[in-house]
Amino acid sequence: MSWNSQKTESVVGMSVSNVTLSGYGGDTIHAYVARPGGAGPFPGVVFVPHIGGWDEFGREFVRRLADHGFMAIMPNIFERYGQGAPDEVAGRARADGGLADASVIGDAEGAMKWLKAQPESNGKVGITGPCSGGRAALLVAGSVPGFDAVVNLWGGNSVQPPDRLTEKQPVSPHSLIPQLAAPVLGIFGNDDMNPNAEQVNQLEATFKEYGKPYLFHRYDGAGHGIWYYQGMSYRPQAAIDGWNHLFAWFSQHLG
Amino acid sequence: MSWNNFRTDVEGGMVAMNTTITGGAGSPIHAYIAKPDGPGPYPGVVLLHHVPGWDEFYREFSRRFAEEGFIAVCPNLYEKFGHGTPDEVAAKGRAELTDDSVIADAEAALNWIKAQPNSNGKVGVIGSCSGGRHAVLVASRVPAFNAVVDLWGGGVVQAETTPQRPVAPIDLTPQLNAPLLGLFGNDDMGPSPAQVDQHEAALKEHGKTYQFHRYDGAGHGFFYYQGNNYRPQAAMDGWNKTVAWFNQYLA
Repeated sequence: MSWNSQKTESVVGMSVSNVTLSGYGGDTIHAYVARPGGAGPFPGVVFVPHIGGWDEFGREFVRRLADHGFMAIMPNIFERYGQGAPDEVAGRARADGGLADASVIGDAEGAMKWLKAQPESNGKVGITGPCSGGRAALLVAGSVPGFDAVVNLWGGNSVQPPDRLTEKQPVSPHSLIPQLAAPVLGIFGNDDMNPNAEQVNQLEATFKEYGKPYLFHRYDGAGHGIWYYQGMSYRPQAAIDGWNHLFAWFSQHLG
Repeated sequence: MSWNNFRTDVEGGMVAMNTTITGGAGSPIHAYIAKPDGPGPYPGVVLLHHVPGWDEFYREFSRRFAEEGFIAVCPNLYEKFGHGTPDEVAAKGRAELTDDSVIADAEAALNWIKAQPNSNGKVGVIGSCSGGRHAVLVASRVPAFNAVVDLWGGGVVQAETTPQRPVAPIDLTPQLNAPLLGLFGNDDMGPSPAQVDQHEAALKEHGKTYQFHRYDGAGHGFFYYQGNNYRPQAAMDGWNKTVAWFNQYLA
């Protein structure tokens, strides 16, 4: 259902908590969880945070999903870098060369399994994330079975050139598209530099080549971080339109 | 605390409900309630929604207060106009809503908060647009509110009265009983900068505690991320000032 279209008598509440779960390597990590009020069953969504950290934007994102009937979880993929303000913790991860893909995949898989183990789960789980989290959403769904839909929000390096592969990021997410089982919605700004329009074209060409279901929306007048209302990159119309596409995509594929 | 400055190891849970409380007229009205999930004691905030209704913006606004440690209650001021999407209900209620009804529902929400075992006994009131005007009005009529935040409330300085709006809130300034934070856009037409000046002059004249912030390059509704009036920097700065104000006066 579109943003702000719930009928006043059918609005549901939610319960929100920090939980712990088993992430990459069996590590105990925190996760921020928002469950819709009511008995369910509810579809689940894993939200992979961006490079800015396990932050308030992510919390508000997860709560918005719960308001629309999704049981949503944001694993703290920065857990190994300690605690503090989100910026501080993420800063330590960046100074260390960023997170290893294997760690992000393991944490997201742990969050997916946590969702499916909840009694109110309907058994279906999607994955999304913005920026590096968008890249991660595609990477995770291509690496691990158990995801039923993907929303890639302007994920830079979704097509990662060979000379930019590293020890921590050994695989380009787009190379996993042949084994991808989940349909992918992509939201991109045409003024974005990473991914730029040409890279989005390349990503799209890969979906076409392998006949994988996908839908891309590309917004004029929008760059990177279209949904970040905390900053100047925010674009109200593209953001609300994109959110409505996200709700529709997850409703269609996780219902 | 300013936005995104929480610590990752602090418990951040909350509970949100669409529930009913006894409204000002004695009959049940819906209220969206968001509260921190802990023993408290917590200060409370009553949110008075704008003309577009009891909507998703106000639910998200309520949850943001809960995140900051407030018991937030947003009563459905349009209850008597029936149910439907916020737009449908607002179409029926927008012209008919009376000030008396809003004051009564706001007081009912205040009493609901104070009756919670984890309330600290202090309650503020906030609203945007018509809700900003209502917040000033309510804080002038109901002495129990401890702080008020007016987000660009048009009609505080009111050219003419109507049966629904019989008194201009500015005329109640002597009775205003709570410290007032006002956030305004300098390109707003209602309230215009001149009207904000008038309101400020009245507050000064009566020796009221207030603080006004006026943002350049912002018009009406600059917190509304759903529309083109949104101004990210003013919105984040204004939110941080709102939280600081309530923390100062509701602790």
